[in-house]
Amino acid sequence: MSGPGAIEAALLGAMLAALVLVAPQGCSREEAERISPEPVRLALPLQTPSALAMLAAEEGLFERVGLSVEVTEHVSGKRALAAMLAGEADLATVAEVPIVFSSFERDDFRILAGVGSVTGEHRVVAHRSRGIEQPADLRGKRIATQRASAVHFYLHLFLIKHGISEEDVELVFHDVEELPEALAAGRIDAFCMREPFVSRARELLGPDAVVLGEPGLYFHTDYLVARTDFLRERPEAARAVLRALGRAEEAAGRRPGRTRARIARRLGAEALRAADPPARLRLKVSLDQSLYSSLEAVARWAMETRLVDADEMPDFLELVQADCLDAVQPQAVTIIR
Amino acid sequence: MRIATKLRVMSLLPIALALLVALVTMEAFRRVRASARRSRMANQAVIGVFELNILTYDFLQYRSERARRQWQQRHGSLLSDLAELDYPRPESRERLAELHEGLAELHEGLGELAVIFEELAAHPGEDDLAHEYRTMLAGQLLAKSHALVSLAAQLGAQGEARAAHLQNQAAILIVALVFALAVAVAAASLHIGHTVIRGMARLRQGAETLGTGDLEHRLKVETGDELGELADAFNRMARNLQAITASRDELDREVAEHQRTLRRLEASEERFRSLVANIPGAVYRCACDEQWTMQFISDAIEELSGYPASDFLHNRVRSYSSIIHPEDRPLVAEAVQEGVTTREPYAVEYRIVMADGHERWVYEKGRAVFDQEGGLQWLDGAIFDVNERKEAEQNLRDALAELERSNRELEQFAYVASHDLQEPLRKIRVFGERLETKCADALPAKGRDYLQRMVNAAERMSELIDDLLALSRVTTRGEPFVPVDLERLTAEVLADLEARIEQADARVEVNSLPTIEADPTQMRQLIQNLLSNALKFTRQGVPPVVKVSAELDHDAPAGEVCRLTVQDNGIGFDKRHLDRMFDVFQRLHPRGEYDGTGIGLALCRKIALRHGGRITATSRPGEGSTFIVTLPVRHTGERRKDARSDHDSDGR
Repeated sequence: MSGPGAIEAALLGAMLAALVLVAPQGCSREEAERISPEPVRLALPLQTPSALAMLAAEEGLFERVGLSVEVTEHVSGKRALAAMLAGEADLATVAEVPIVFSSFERDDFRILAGVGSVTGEHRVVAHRSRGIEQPADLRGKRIATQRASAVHFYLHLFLIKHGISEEDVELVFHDVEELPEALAAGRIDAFCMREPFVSRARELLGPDAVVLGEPGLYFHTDYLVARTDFLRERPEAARAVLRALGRAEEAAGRRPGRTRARIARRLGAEALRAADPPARLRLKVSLDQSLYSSLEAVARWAMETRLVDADEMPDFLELVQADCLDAVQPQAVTIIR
Repeated sequence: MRIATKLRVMSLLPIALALLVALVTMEAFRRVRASARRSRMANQAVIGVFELNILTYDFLQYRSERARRQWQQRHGSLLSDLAELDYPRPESRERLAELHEGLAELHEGLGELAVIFEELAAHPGEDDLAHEYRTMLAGQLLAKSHALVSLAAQLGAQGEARAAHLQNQAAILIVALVFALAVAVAAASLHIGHTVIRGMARLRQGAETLGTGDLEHRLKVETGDELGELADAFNRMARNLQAITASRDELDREVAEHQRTLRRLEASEERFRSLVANIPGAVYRCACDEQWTMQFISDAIEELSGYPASDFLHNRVRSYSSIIHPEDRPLVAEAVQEGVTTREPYAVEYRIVMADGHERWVYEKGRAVFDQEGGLQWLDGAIFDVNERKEAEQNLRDALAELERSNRELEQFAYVASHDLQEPLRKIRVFGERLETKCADALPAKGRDYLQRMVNAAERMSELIDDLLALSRVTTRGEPFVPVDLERLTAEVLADLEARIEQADARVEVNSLPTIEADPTQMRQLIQNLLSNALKFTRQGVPPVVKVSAELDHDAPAGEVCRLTVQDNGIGFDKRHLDRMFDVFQRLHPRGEYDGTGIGLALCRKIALRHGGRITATSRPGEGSTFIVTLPVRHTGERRKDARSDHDSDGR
């Protein structure tokens, strides 16, 4: 072998050798994971506290951590949790209220981290023609909401705040999609819900729509939950999801305007307006001690109102699995241990 | 201290100070880190106490089992954290002890309250006293919890203050050390800079002063460092410069003298070159080897040999030995070797073969040159053209040989002629005498006169022939030289002349005469002729007085000689005739006044010459004459050989 051919062959051999030698070290774990992405199914409610999951999906952050996330969107966190518990998804984002209700019934899922919270989003929309102008006017009215959900709990707090017990009103439960039409049709006098259903009701009722709200009364926090079998079998995937959400949090912090624009595009401008000022929307992956207080408050409410048939509170210490977030963002774990 | 040492110290000083700063900083940081760690742990304890406080509230508010479990868990972890705390200061240790004690009381109170809550849950309903006690217990628990928060906060504050204090101390210390380092380096730099600049200024001033011509100026720098050495060097330079300047005139004189010497040398060399070029011969210097390798030979060799001098230098083209006639080479080598051995000049004549093939005679004279150790170095000498002289000598030898041959033929002729003339002459005399005796009467008087003249003429001719025979026999019939007693020989001659002595009434005085080596016959003839002349040429009326004497000269160049003197008081002669009076047939007086053949003195001179001597005379007219014969007392082998040759040839 001689001449230019020999030189080319030598160069090719050197390049191949370099690739063989460099590839194991030069290829990062993320790149390796991209080569064979791990499939994960995520049940995602279309609500602002779960915006980090939406952003991560849109920005391709899940793919960057080696995941191939199949996102199924749901109108509420309760539906998303139900879908996960039904085995349709591995993980879900959901508010604490559905979590607490489910925790009374089953012990096959765990809370991994809070992913965002918002206050002021939940509203009570009433029909002016039914004589409702202010919260006190709700007494004796037929008020609808989604049972065993965050809006249900919010309505409970809203009524208490205004000196109205649940016995003082006629509380009925509907599917969330039906609420605006039910109000417009007069089947109910008011309903407690969030965007985009509040805006839908405004549209339907026009000037007759009365929107009542109490910002700061309740912080709606969505949590990332996962089935225990998933956590047992694929803990790394759960950590990867948390890692992607952490990157989404960083991205949202760096470019808040862009983040809000995306949320508005997905959930509607009204949804975002409800979270105005921006401080009302807090997109952060964390596990803090208030989680237990929130869960126990909801649990006490559920037991006292007999929404659940139980006398003992679930073991929320067992419900929270902090090790995944501890492995990814230890500084984000502030629960008392 | 030397500047280099100062610079080394100055360069090491920052390093040492930097090391000190580093050590101090490390120690300070270690203390700060330890304090910060304690502060951090104290803050963790504060947080833990706060968290316990929260959980306490939580427990008291809702009697939450979850809160109690969390409390127990957090209490345990807090105690573990506190166990790692170690405060050096007593007040902090005291606070820590109080915190431990408070936590223990809190744990005890919470446990008691939990028991109460459990009993209450198992048996709902309580009396007022139990409710009051539970409320009091809860209040104490909260109060203790609050107190612990304050205590922990104090502990944390103390830790932070301590850490801040240590940090300040460390910062101040480091700043002070860095400042000290900077000051030390600056001071050292300034000191060295000041020293160097001051010294340099002095040196510059000194150089300028020196430049103005003040060679007496000296620097006074006694720092003992490089500047001091530089000043010493400067002063040495000034002294040297002064010395150099002082000796400049002398140097100029030396240079001028050197130049004159150089010119003389050049003139001398020119003269030498001219001498070598014009000397009638080739001057050489050669090695004493078989080739006579020339180290130098003048251009005149080209005239001698036809070969340029450069051919012979170091045998480039040919050796000098190669042009020496092969037959003469041993002769030359022998002569040179003898000169080398005797350390005397050598001289030799030999032939060289010229470039055109002809031979030429040369005369070489030289001398071997030796070094101080006696080693032979080279040969110096000159070679001269003697070809013409050699030819002249040869011609002379040829002419001499021809002359000798001619003389021998002439002598032979004279001898033969004289000898052969004897017989007819004798018959003329005999028949003349018979005619005179027997026929005189028959002749007229004129006839008798004629007859008498003829007889007399025959008689003279006989004498003449005898003398000629004697003259020729000097060389042809000479006898070998033998010791001859001149005194005895003279006595014998006087005896033979006794009649004439008496007839002339002469007086002959003979002194002591030596014995010499000579031909006795010829010596007899010599003395007899001289005495006969003394008795013959006498003055009228004056009785002849003849003195014979001799003296020996031991210092004569040719060896010891005898001067034989015959002095008379006769008629004498004019010294003008001295040159010819010893020639044959030369007579100073008419035959009528004094008889003789004119051959006697010629015979004497020939005898003297044969003996290697000579004859001369001094005289004045009327005052007598003195004849001096100088003869060698002894003869060399060559002379004896010649004498024998004469005798042998005579024998032929």
